[in-house]
Amino acid sequence: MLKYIGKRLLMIIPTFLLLTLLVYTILSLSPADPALMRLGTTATEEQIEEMHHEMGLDRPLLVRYGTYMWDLITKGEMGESWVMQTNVKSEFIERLPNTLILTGLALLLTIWVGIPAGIYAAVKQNTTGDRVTMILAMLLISLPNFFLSLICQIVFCLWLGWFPVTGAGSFAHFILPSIMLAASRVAGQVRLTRSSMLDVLGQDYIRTASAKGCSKIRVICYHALRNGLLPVITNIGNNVGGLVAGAVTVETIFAIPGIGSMLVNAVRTSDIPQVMGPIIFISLLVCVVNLLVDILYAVIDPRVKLQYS
Amino acid sequence: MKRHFKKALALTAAAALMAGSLMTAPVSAAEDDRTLNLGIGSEISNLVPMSNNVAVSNRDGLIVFALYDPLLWYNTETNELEPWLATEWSHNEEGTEWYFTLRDDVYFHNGEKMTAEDVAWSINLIPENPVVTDQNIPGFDRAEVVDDTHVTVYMEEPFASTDNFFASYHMVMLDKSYQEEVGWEGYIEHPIGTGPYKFVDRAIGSYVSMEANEDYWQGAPDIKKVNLQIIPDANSQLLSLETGEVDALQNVSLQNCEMVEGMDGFEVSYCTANTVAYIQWGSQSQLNTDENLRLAICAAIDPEAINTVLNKGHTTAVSCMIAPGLRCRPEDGTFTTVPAYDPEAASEYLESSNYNGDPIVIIVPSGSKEEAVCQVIQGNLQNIGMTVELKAVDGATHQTLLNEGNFDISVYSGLPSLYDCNLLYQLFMPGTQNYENSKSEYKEELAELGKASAVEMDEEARTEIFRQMIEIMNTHVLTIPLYQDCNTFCYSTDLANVKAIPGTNVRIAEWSWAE
Repeated sequence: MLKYIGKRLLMIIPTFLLLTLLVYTILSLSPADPALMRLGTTATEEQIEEMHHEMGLDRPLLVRYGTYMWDLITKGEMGESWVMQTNVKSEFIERLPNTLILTGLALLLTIWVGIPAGIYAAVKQNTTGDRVTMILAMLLISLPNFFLSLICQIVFCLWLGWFPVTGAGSFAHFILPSIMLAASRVAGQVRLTRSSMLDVLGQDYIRTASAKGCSKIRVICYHALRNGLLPVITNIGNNVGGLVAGAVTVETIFAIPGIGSMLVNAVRTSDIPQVMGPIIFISLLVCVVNLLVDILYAVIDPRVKLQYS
Repeated sequence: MKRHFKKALALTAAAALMAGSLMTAPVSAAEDDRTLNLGIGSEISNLVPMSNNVAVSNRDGLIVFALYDPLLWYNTETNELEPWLATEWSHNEEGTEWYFTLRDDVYFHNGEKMTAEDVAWSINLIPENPVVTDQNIPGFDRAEVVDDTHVTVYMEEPFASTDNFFASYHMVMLDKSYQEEVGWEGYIEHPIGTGPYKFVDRAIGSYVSMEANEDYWQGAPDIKKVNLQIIPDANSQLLSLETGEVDALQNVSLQNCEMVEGMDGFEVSYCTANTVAYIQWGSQSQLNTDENLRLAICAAIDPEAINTVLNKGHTTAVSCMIAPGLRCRPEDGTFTTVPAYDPEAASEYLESSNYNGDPIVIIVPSGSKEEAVCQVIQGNLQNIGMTVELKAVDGATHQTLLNEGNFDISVYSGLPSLYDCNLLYQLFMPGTQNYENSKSEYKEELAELGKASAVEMDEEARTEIFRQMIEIMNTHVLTIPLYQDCNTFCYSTDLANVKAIPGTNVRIAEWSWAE
């Protein structure tokens, strides 16, 4: 098992480095000149060159990337915003809790609502309950996030007055945004859980368990769910990345100052240090969550453990 | 099983109660304690002007003039400079020395008295901020303290609009001893000025909160607490206003303003802005060397359609790229205007031009209000048989393309931060990438006139120089002025004295709660 975890951990390092290098390169290849964002259209050639030097833009790409990563790894520094000249790390730290709360709540919703609803639909296959669940799931997947958010803002904030429209001052500010963020993920989770459970429920050993006189709940929760959950757990790992990426839209609509909205502003201005902070966080988070998922997979599925024993 | 169900029910009820208590609106407080929540569309670019060589954005005027004071005040209604922290000002005949007499009853938010030393020190930050100041106060040398209430500014060469610079958001007075104590990082974290509001707290990307400066030299403002809330999404802005989460919104789109007008309990204040939207040619475009093609484009575009249909009649036609009334702006009628909308004439000009059917490239920042204007222009040009390619790019790429000049047409909204025609000089300033790349045959002539305008201290003579510049620009269609923009405030009728103004120096200190 340790060998398995070690192998997975080692895979994170090249993945992370490749990903950050890729993002850094793409941003650097953009035609936008960050020096001009600060200098404006009336800048002289001399001023532009000076600014390039000041911002380190006159050095080769790999040197810039290497310096950035070295400072990040050895000093924990994320540099200074090229446009606002603020410390990226302090802004990142200030915004991070909001994104964690938002995506954390959305993930919990995805699991707590998506899995039980999927199991219910599978168990009640071809009943009205199953059909209603699947129609709702299809609806949530089809509706674009921004549109659903607007509709829900009108209904729940304006008409019913249950939630605030924007901001991040209290727990109430996160309820509607996290539901919006989770909506399509919940729907995906429902569909996946249902299909996975249907596969398992059709197996011989389930019929055997029922024939032996096991209660329906025991058959579902003990015998079917354990195997049915394997693809579902893998999907949760993928969901984390998707939720953080989806936070970009939701944070902008609900005016939540998280790293998603920080990323949007930074991309618009080609502010590489400001972009790299959120990207590094997202890539690390996805790597770590997928590692955890892999470990959990090994715990649940003895075949994986056996491969490495 | 039943016991588990009851437990779950109890937990759910507790969670609902907790959420309910969190969602409950705050108990209405006395009017004195009521916070003004003002919605703004984007993050403040710089809370402390002159602290880090980052230019203050036009949209930041609202907070800059709440926290700080300039030496002089630009009255956007009369277009006159008024005494502010300086009670009197004058200059020598050559314009190389400017003399300021200071008030002696001004205090910073930390209780320290503002001294002549603070003023001179603040002004002497100019050379450390070349990005902000190179084009806005060229020729600056130094500021010196004369005595407790007098400061002299020395210029290496005259700059006619020096006093306007001291009324702009670029140049506000900062506390020298506080900066020495906390450094720039500390200053930016907790800014201190002499303005009507004191900084309280800030969450990046979310809000800036302020409280009234009870010792303000003009008297304490009526509204005691102000919270600037950053709400980037236009729909969320409107909903926040409607639900009462914010009391006012600054510069929402004109389409959304019309919606607010239809809502009970809300009003909209409109004001023709000093911002002029105009078409400029890419410095490397073929358009620079083909006057007939420029004339064809000019005659093909219908500014009236943009004003009445797109901008709902709230923007105004304008005869040159500087708004009327600004300092040294020549009167309408004293210069030639660009050809009016006339599709037939446009087709004739096009036939006489060297246009070979290659696409005319329009660049515009994606999602900006200029994007819709560019779409109208695209349609206008297609109507006379031109091929037009509209490229909507991000802000940074747009800025880079503007400098490089590798495009044909761009729509630019220009607000002269000095409330002066100096913007014309900035457009044709030798040495700038834009100027050096330009293929225009008129650039040297305009650069010479621009330089002359900067050092000409006689207002009439300076106005005449600008008239000549505008004459050249309009006659040869070097730019096409489209419209004077509109500034707006959408606000709850709980507020009084809310007024949109043409410039950036919005004074929320003058607002109050309605009786």
